[in-house]
Amino acid sequence: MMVNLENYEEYILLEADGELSEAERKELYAFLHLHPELKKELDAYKAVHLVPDAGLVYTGKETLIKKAGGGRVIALNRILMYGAAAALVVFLSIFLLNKQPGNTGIATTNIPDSKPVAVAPVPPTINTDTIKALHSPVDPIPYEKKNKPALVAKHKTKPAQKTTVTPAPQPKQEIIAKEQAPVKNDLIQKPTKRSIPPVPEIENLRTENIAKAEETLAIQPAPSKENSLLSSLPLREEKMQGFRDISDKVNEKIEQVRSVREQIKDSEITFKLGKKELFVVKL
Amino acid sequence: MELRDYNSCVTDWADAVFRFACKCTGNEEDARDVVQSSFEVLWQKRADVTREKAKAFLFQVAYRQSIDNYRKKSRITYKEQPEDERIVPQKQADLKRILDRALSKLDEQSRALVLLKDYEGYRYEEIAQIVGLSETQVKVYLHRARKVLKDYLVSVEHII
Repeated sequence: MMVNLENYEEYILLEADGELSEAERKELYAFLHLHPELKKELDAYKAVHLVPDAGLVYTGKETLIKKAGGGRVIALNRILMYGAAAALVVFLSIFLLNKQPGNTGIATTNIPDSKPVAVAPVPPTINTDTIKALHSPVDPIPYEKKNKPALVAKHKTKPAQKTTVTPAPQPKQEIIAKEQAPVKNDLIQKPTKRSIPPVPEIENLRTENIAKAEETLAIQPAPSKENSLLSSLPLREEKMQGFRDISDKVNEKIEQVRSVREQIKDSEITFKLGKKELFVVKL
Repeated sequence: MELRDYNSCVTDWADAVFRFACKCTGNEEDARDVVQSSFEVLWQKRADVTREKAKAFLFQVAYRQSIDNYRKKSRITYKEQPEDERIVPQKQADLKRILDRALSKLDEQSRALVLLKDYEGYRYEEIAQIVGLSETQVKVYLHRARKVLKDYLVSVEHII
């Protein structure tokens, strides 16, 4: 575009602002050479070009400088929010852990229906040797059969009226051997394994007693220290049964606690807020 | 933008922003507030602003704050600038004062355009991005401001 008398002022202003290209500047100066009176306007516009005042300096730049590690301000309410979220996650995790199947936290005891076992009519003239033989130790019964009510005591208490019938104190060696013996699924112990001295006076009743003894042995709990302790106490059958139930429940709870402890051992709990992982707790 | 880049922006452009704010607001105290606010905004937005665009960002914030400051006060109170301790020829000192007074005659937007052009050397399109106008508008407003300043200077010279 050619510089003329109609657009020269625009060119002058652009030149004062330094916005003209090299070619445009040459064109403008060529026009001004032809019109020297217009050059004063260019000088006037260049004179009103402002110069920065070097005396104006901002004092206190150090207040604007940010330092490493302390430049970020975390609002207290955000800290409280993160803490509340972490506490909630902890409580939920503990609650869910306690809610695992089989761990209801309520003491329950599965007592199967006890089979009514009729008390064998023991004649008053029963020999104590026979009684001892009938109740001699047998192989241990599996753990799941422990809950079956023990009915051997009934046999023991009645004969005790005439003679002090107590379970034969088993030698310690025998007890240890039985505890280490493998658990047999076959719960019914045949009387033929035991040595029963023949008693002519009760020959007819012997077979009946043996049959009933087999039934009681099938549900007899394995001879344990607790049962032997309970059975040695001078308690009535009803209370004896209650104490056995309590001991069974306590044992059950102890086993549950041990199992939970084993389950959460070496596990990790990760606390997250949304998608952001806060921290990990290793148990 | 890293912490190091932000701090370099403070050392490089705090004075320039302060001079710009002083001329826009006409008041040193207000200019200090503008500078502090501008750098605080830059710090908050440092993740979104690169080092190369930080200067334009600072002037953009300073311009908006100066306009807001001016509109709050509704009129400008222009203070005498501190005397330059350097030995300046009398004629140039007079010219400087005349130009400062002429600058105060402009509206806040035109004044900002002249300052951005003369103090910082921004091009038309850069000024347009800072003040939020088109390049054509910047050219037109700036030319009008130059005419006002030239006419004022000529009239003063005639009086003198």
